[in-house]
Amino acid sequence: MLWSSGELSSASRSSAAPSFEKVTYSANGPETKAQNTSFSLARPTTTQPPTPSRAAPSPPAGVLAAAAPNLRVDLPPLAGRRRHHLGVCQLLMSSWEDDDSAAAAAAAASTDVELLKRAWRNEKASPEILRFDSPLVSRVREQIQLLEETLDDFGESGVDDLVVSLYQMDLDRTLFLLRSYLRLRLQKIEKYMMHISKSEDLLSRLSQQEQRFAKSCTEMMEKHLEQSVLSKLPYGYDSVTRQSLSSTEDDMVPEPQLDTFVFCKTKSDVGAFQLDDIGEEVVDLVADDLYVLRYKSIKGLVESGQIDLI
Amino acid sequence: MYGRRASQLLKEVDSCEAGQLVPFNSDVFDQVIRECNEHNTQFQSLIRKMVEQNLDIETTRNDDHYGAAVHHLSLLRNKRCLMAYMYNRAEVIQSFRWKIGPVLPHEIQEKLHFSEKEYFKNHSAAIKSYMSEMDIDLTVDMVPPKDPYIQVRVLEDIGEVSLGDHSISLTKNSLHFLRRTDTEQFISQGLMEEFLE
Repeated sequence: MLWSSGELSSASRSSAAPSFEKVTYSANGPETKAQNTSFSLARPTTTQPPTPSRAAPSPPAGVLAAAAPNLRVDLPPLAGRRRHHLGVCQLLMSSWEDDDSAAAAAAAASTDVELLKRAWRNEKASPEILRFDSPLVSRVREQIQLLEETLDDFGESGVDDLVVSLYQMDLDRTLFLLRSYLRLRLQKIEKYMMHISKSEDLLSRLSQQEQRFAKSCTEMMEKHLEQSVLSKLPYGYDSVTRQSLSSTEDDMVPEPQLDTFVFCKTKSDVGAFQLDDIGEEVVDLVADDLYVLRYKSIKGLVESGQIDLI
Repeated sequence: MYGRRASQLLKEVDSCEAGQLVPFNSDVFDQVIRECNEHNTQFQSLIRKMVEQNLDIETTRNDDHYGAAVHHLSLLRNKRCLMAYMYNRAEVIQSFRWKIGPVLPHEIQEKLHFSEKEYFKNHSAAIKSYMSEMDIDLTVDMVPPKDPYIQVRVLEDIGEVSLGDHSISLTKNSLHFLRRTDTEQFISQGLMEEFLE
């Protein structure tokens, strides 16, 4: 009820997301070094979609011309019908009609920044903590470092200020994404520390540093509650996790609400999917559709990456 | 009425604006603790009375049993209220680390229980050690960046500051156009504000 740091609120989610759309700059002016650098933080193996006929005589114009057409919003506007089906509100979306942009989108989706953005969005929307993607985070950090070095080189070799500031912006955005991702996770750990440190499964989702953080957080919170409240209560009522000696299990631990509804988007056809245990609610999950479902029922799909939370 | 004082504590927390803190109410807090101990004494004496009458306390359902149950449940309720009070305050205190920084201003310090001050310090240390292990500062970049440069107004005399390759003099009420990353620490300390026309 008093949680208000903003990172977990859905309001900031919607305001933050669109501003970090990926910009694929291709500064291909002959005078700059930019053409040698994998500027878009793409994974080294990824080939960028070609940006034909955007080479302009002067680097700044080339950069701007290249940057603008590639700015894209992830979600096309909601269009078409709404279908109510077994209490599940299903929003149909128009698919990409433009082949070209679809191909570009597919290529963009495989860059590390895009992957991090997806992890960040999932983390933001999911009520519980998700698995930490350490290879991804270390790749992104490597690329950030590379970009920082490139920027330093630019400073020395006197590249146009506008180009530098575009690079700087890309770097800033990536850094924000990374920080926000790590911060979100810490705040989730703070919120459910006792619940997380009780379960091996949840603990294994954290990075080693996060595990240490969770452990010391829990110890501190227990100590704090112990010395402010529990030590003053009579014997039998002084447990942190149980109401009294007569409780047979931990009944005072804050847990995430897994029943909550989440917005999600399917990446590929899943087919008929059972929402509950008894098979009364089945929904047909079609690729690239938006759904509003209970988090609990699609938890497995989120973990296996078949569905994205938004 | 049993449990009323404890619920008063929670009402205080609830009526307070989200993310803010009311002063720690040690008077009511101590009263509730006393109430808890009183409940326990009553509870014990009722149980003892039943034992003296050679009644099986597990199965007997007489006046004393229900009396004891009322005391037990009131105690539980008080405990839950006290814990919720402390826990919710602790959550707000945690959020201060992200919003204000590692040092709390005097007016917030005054509102805290001594254990809460300690908790804040320990919690800050935990975040700090996480950040140094990860080698990343998570307390900057709280909002998504729009532009690498922003215009700021200096609120207090800061003096000569070196930023990267040059140094500038930050005097009170002067306007500067600086890199956002350079200004963030000053803004969070309240020495600068973003200047919006």
